Amino acid sequence: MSLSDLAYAGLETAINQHIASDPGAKAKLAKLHGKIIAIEILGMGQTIYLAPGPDLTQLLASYEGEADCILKATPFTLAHLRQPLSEGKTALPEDMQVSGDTELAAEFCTILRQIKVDWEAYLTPYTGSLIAGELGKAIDFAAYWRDHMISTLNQEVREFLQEDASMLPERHEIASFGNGVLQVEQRVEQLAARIEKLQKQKGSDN
Amino acid sequence: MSEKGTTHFGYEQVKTEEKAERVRAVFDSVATKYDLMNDLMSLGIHRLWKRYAVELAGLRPGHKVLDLASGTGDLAARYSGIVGPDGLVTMTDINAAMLDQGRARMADRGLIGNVEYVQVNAEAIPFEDGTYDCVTIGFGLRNVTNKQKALDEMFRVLKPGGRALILEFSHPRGEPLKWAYDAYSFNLLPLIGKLVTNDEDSYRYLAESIRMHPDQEALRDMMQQSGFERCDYHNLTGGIVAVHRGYKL
Repeated sequence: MSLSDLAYAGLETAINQHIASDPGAKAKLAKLHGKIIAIEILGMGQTIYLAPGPDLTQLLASYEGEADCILKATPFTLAHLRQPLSEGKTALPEDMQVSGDTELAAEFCTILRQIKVDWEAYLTPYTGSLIAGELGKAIDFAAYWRDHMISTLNQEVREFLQEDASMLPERHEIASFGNGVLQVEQRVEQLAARIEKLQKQKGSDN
Repeated sequence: MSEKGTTHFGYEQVKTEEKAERVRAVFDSVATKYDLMNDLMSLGIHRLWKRYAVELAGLRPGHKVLDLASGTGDLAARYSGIVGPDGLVTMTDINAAMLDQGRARMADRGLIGNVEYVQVNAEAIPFEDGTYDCVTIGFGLRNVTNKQKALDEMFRVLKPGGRALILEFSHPRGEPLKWAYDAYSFNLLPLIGKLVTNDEDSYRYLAESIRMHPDQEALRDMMQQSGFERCDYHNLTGGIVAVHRGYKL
């Protein structure tokens, strides 16, 4: 048992607290009982397994069987799963790679992205239903305003850095650069294999 | 068992047939505050020990699991979540009061459908040979009168290829930890028991029964004697607790 076990336990608690804030999400996740969802965190070499159940979604650090679906994404992409689902957009973030049962993967991501904290139900025991209702509306409005502001700010900063200041490349430029690197890598490997073959040939001639 | 016809109950020697009744009385006394006491005694670390054990169980959806000495069902609840609606968790305890607590708690958590409840003595498991993919016992083996017989029974009801898991208090490694652990369990533990459950003796028994339980290597030898193969153990929190694992191949 190590510190990472403690971290996994903490992460499991955090995930379940987030899910519990929306009773509807908890019920939807309970329908996935018996499924295992693997999440490979790119860049960290770490895979975690989620087992949704009626009472909680378990987080396992290891799993001996084959997961029903595998989601591969960077921590940044995974963080998008906390953002609400935009109209007309798929629940699966663009940069996420999915294998196995893709329908399950989409359903799982949709549930996570549709989580809406029921502030009124949360606050009623402390403040009474009238005040809780008003506070709930205010919090929802503040959250909407915050998301809108973040989204607008993101877009404006991106446009400035990519188009006006030309400090950052655009998505298609990164993809093109990535392809170029891949091609160079393949050619270097071919060249190395060729040199090795010639060296062996030279050795046998001598 | 030490002398013929007697066994230990903590540090006390009692007649063999008396031990089960004495253990039953201990758990009758603590059943209602069992979870609270577990959290207080271990500072919540028992949840990490259980998580670790569940991962070692290697369960998959559709598996059948027998959980002996389930208590209030911490392990069984996790098993139920992993094996899914096509699997089965048989939650058992020799003590009816503990099993009732466990059943109520599982129902409260919405864990129904893939869990069954049976009052079972681990020394005489009432199921057919080769029934389960996994058999576990968490913090229960040290209370069993004839541990070897219980291990034989666990082996019998496992399917070929199945595994057994024993999560139990064990013997800490290193003198400083042993000293601190002894000071805690013989002084502080009975005091907490007295304050919370008004039952000092049950928690004194807990401390004594841990000392009388076989150490890591001895328990692994006992598992091998029952027929388990590829037996290993994992010390947790410096050996205060150990998870033993063995396979029926």
